[in-house]
Amino acid sequence: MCNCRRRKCYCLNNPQNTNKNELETLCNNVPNVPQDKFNTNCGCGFEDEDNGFPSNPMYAQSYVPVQIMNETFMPCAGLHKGTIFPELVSEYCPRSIYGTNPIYHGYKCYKRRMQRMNEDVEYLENVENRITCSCTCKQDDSTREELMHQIKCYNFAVIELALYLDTHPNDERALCLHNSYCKTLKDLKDKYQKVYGPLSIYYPCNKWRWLEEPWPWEGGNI
Amino acid sequence: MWTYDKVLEYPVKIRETNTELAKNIISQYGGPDGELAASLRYLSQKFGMPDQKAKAILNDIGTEELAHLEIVGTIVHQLTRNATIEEVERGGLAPYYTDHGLGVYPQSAGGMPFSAVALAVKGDPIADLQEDLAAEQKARATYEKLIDLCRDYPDVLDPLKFLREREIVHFQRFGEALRGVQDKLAEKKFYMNSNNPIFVNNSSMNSGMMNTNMSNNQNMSNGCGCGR
Repeated sequence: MCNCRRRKCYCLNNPQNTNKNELETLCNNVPNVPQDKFNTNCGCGFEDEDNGFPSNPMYAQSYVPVQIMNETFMPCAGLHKGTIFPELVSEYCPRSIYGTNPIYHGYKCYKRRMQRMNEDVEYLENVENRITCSCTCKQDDSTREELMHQIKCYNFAVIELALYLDTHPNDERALCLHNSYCKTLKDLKDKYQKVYGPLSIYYPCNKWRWLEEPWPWEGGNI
Repeated sequence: MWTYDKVLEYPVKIRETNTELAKNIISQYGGPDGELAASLRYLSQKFGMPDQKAKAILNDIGTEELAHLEIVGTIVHQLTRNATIEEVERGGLAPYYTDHGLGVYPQSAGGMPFSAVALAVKGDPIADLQEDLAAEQKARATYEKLIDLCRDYPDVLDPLKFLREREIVHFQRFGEALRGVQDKLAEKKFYMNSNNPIFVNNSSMNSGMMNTNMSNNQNMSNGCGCGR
């Protein structure tokens, strides 16, 4: 609940400016399934939902609103942000200890305010900006790094969609995306493993390259 | 069954040694709210779950937490692998170094070795899922503390921010799994009296399986059977 009197509210639900270039366009014409997955066949209206919550919640239970997938990020943008769902993105800025809410100080990433303090502008330029990226996910796999980057991105997108499908098994659009990403991932992995060595022990090879260094924690396959 | 993919879920490229940060980040490796506790908790709870969605999500998130465990271990390793003795002493890692050298040992930031005391498996779907929700929030909060402490080191900040966002997404998924279980709760009372669709709003009837089971019999004549 946001008390927006005098515009002093900072609704955490405001989606940060989503760059249109980062949004996925595959499977856009596939509809999600209508929200009848909570069909309990009970005539007391329990199956009605209001904004993701049941309209007749039980007492002594806590409810989390159900997310219905809308737009998603492209795999590379998703990997960078930590999720492919824009509505779940949550920024945390360690320097913004401004504002009157001491509880979640890091959630107020007012860059405008920060620019009044010179030292923080420098911080923004040196630290925060170095870890932002405008990922457009162009399918460039000419070098080993680029190929591996693509593999990481698609691998992550598949994991994200798998988790979503575990709780929304009937969502057609998610299934379509998962399908498409799995196929792309398989092709990329085959390409990579042929040249640079196996990524799992199940890859058949003539020479046991599995134990080649460096391993991922030493900077291998980065 | 688990397979290992020879790739980190998120790239970790740390160029400079920093023993002070390592001392704190180890908490997400073997601490009470860390990835090891999380994965063990979810992978153990999955056995007692009656609901299909809950089983699947516990299994898959537990697997992903193992991947995160590797990421955190990598961060600690890369922060300490080339540390000189002076850096170890200056970073306050001398006691750790005595017992574990420059290795990665599952312990909390305060030095307590990993223990399953940090997790609970009640065998009750609601209790277990609520515990998982709490665990994800604790993990997120810990990551925020670590982000506050590592604010000036972008190499370290990058994977920490990723891991923090993953905790938020996991919370959402567990919440949805909990909704699935809660719906089943209502379902269970329902088919005892499926002919009467009239909704009875009886606020004196609390939820919880004990109460609704008992009062269901009283409401057979005029309730909708969903126990409320």
